[in-house]
Amino acid sequence: MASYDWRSAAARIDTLATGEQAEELVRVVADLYGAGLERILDLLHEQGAFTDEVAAAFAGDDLVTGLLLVHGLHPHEATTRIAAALTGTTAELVELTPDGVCRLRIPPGHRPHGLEQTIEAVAPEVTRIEFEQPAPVIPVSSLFSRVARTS
Amino acid sequence: MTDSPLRTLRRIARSRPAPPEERCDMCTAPVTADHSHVVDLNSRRLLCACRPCYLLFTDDHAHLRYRAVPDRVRRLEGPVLDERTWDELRIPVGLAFLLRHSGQDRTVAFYPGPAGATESELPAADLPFLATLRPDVEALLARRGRDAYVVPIDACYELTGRLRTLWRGFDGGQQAHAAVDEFFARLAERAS
Repeated sequence: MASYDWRSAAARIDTLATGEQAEELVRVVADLYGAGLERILDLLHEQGAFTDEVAAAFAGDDLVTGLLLVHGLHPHEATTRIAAALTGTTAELVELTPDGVCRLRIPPGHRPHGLEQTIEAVAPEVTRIEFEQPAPVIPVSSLFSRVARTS
Repeated sequence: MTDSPLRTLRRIARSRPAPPEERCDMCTAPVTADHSHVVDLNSRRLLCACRPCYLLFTDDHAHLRYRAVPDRVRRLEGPVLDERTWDELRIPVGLAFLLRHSGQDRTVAFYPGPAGATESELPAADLPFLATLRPDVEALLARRGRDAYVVPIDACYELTGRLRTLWRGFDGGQQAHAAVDEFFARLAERAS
């Protein structure tokens, strides 16, 4: 199972789960496993084994995070998940409104690529992403060079 | 993580299919849960009806195939069916509903049971108060030695349908009796 390609499996669901009956089957099976996941988390909690380290390890694993999100069981708040996913990018989280609008601050210039997908993967509750981008400061010298060239 | 491969799974797991929509049996317009009914006088079948379709069939004297089921509930004072009548009805359970068939010009009695509503022989003597029932769409619903109501016929079908699922043994059992009590309590609230 070490080489289990869960991304391909997820893509297979995408192609196979067409039609009401197929979706219903997927829903029932997903509910069953979701209930199992929830029970596991409850048991870990009861046994005092659900530590911050365990939660962080769950959050650091793409598959575990993805499945916990399917069932609304992720131990971290949406803002925590988004902030963690943005580490290493130039974007930072300004706020997440109750109705799911995610505001990001990004530096002037090109918008970083793939931010939407990154956010969606860790925070499906986000309905819309808005960017705050300060206008670039144009050096005075560059203005003059333009005037010089056109005249 | 750069994309969301579990998006489809998440969508399916988070969505719940809407319950099948109820529709008017005459014009297929969507209807609410508290919609009215009309009776098909030929087949004695109840049809769900939207308000506009329902209003087409409210005249009791019109020569139409369908008739609107009213929603009034009236409590009748005193023992409407006496002990002799109950004995003559040969109804094993102390609950019956009586209605007039306009087409056949006769009164029929039904009692609930595990197989739904069972028709019973009526005593030869017709009961005078039955003339006050609107034919085909209203019924007299009575409990032996207790109370009696004039109710819309769809209420009788609702009660029989419920009892059918709860019925145990000869007289219905505890659950069925509780359902009858609850039903009559609601009738008392609705009664004018």
